[in-house]
Amino acid sequence: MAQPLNFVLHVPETPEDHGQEPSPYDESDVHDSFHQLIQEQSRWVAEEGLELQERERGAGAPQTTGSGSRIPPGPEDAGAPSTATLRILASMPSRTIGRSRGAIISQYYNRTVQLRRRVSRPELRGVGRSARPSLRLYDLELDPAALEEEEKRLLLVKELQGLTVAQRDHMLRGMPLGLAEKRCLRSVPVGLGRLQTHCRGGGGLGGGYPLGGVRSIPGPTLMPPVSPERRAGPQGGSGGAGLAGVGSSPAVAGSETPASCNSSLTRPCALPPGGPCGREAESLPYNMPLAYLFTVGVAFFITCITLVYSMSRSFGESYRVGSASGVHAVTVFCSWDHKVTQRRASRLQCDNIRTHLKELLAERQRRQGPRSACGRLRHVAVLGLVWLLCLGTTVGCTMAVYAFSELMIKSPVSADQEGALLALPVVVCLLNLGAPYLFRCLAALERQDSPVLEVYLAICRNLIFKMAILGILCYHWLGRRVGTLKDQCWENFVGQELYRLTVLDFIFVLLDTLFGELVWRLISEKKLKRREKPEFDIAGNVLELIYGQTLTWLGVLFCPLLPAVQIIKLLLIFYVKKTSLMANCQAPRRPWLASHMSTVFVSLLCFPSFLGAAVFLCYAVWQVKPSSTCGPFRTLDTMYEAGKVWVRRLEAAGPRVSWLPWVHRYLVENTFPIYLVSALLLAVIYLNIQVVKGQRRVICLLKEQISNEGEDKVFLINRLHSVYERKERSRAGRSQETERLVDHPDAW
Amino acid sequence: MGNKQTVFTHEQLEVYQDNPFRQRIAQVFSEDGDGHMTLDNFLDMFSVMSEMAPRDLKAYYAFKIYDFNNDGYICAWDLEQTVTKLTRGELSAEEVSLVCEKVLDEADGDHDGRLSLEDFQNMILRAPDFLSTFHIRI
Repeated sequence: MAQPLNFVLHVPETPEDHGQEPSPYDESDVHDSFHQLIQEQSRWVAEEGLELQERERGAGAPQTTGSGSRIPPGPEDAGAPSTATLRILASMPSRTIGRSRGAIISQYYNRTVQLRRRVSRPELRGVGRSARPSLRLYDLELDPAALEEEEKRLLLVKELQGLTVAQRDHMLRGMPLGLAEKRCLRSVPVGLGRLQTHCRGGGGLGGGYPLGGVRSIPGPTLMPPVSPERRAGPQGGSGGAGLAGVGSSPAVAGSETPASCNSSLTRPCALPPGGPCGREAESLPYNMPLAYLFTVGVAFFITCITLVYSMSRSFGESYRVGSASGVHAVTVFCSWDHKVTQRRASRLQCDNIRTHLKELLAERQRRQGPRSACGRLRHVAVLGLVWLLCLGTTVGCTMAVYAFSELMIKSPVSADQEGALLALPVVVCLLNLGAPYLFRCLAALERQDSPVLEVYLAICRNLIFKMAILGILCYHWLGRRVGTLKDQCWENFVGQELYRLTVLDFIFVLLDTLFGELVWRLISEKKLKRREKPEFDIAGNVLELIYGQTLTWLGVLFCPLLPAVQIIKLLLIFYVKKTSLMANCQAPRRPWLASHMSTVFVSLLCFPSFLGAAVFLCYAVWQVKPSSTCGPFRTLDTMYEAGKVWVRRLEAAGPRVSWLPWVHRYLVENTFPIYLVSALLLAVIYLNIQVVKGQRRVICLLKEQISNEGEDKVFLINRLHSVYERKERSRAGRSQETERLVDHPDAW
Repeated sequence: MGNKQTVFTHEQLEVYQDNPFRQRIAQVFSEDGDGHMTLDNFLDMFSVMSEMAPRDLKAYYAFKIYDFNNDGYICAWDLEQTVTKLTRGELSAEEVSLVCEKVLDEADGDHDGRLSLEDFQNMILRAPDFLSTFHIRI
């Protein structure tokens, strides 16, 4: 739309004559994307143009031109041009989309057609000369002839009949039309010819779906209780009934060795082949260790898929391609929660919004005022110091846990002193409890500008701390305990340790809720006489949950009932926290962008937490020698060998299952397929990145095009004004001329 | 409402009606535009404000609600009214105009000094919380 339009406007002689069609609507002279809708709306405009003028005058809305506005201050000077200009403005497509039923119907007709033809992404080629709506992605009319509203409704009904019921309902739900209209669009009248009388609906608005309803909340599913198929032996949880967890049912008991498990199936066949023995030899041997590994592996795989899916969905909802931060607009339009009805709660909400707006304005001003070099240096120094202190605390606590664990190894615990086994978990839980408070005090020194950054930094530091502690514990178990517990079950020990950690974590969370929230509230109300309740720390609580889930994932191989314990623990924590929250806490003052935060938390659950647990388990399965006195893997070098042993047995089992060893040899043992799959995955990721880049670029181009169209609109309005003024002057001149001639007829 | 009464005094009702946009909502969803709703209008209002309504539909009606002078655009005056109602008049006039300016900077695509329906819908896409806040529970 770069070339200037050359057109001649025929301005009506008497602007008050509304019955005459004003001729800027003449086809060949006007930009043709306005043409159809202008024709359609001209009759409507003729009735409503006067009403619009009165509303514009009477509404008292001053046309304040903001800093970015380019609308010429036309309507204030003369009455006559302003009416015509208003009429033209009233017929602009961007306005009629919002108002006229005919435009809504044709828009949804086109959407239905697109749905039927399964056009998912709008084409960019046809966007050439556009005037919005949405850069002509919704063609207002499919064929050039202007249709009556009734004909359009007929077309829409026909299209709707062509969809499935679910699609039709979905389409109808989104239409901003009246309830009665929607009912009749959905129902199938016997003869379409009667549609006109049937569907004469009033004005009114959309409806037609059930109110309320439970929205299913997607989220990462926890590990279901693993109950691997076992043929014999109670594989109970390592907890038993006691807290210390040393019970009579060790974690990986397995009273049968793998050899005895399969002995009945691999007895050498003394009878001639073809007899009953042959049938036995052909059946697949059941390998319990492998079944156990497979079950755990499949459960992890399903958890991984669910986590990645959930993460991608929340990413998709909260981060849009090409969206700049529109935080002011979002705060003004989307932050009022209409569910709040009580006066006190809505006052609180008003205060929150006001505080947020003030903080946003202050942030802008602070960002605009550049800090001096000295101030910046000081700020960076303080930041570095605080980070150093936090990391130093982390390292110090890690060394402390390591030293304590070495001490526990050196002083072995006898059977009647099992309570001493609780020492290490207690130390770990105490450190986990105290570190967040320490980090919060240190962060108060920093005085960050933006509160969101503070929250992210706090999450980061706490996460590093917890992961460091868990890392040192994993090293302690797999690196040191395996060596020292040569003749005993180290798997048992690890399972029991994780169970102890889980239960103690639960107890400490309860204590923290009690003292951190209830007692603090009592103290602050009675002693310090503050009216404010303590704030509910969302980030801290979510990190606690992530930590607990990591413990479960770490322990599922060694202690299969740990997920059941975790489920009970989560239920109890939920109800305790909920009661405490309602009674003792107030909402956090910092505004929570709930969806962004849930994306962050789900990705934290996926990346350090799940990935770390998966790495730990892979190492344990692949590299560590299982204990030789207990467990189903006792005869093997590594747990992974169970698969290899089984494949070798399969090869000897017969030709019926020969494809499994083949698959194992060429696809699992061979590295080439893995490289191939990785290369394919990388290619897919690369393609997706390029697509996203392309979309970003397209969004930039479209934004530019929208801005240019705004300029064009202003240009057109200016031209209109100048033409009207010229016509007015020429009319005034002509009338003066005729008056003069009337007065002086002999001048001719 | 949690009460066993069946007849409420005006003051008692006021405690439950603290939505600053309550009059605009009633005006937008009523047929004659001045707040008197028929049963159909009432149903429409609650179905649009329910949690199952699609985002575009909610954005359409939210736009109408924030368009105080019903001219099809949210101009600066409409924005000032919105911000004043949101904060109950506790922001100074200068702050209100600053906020309105920032909002227009961020959301106005064609730089004509006011928000059209498409600018508004575009901005709503960036706000994933909109679906949960523009929701009235029955």
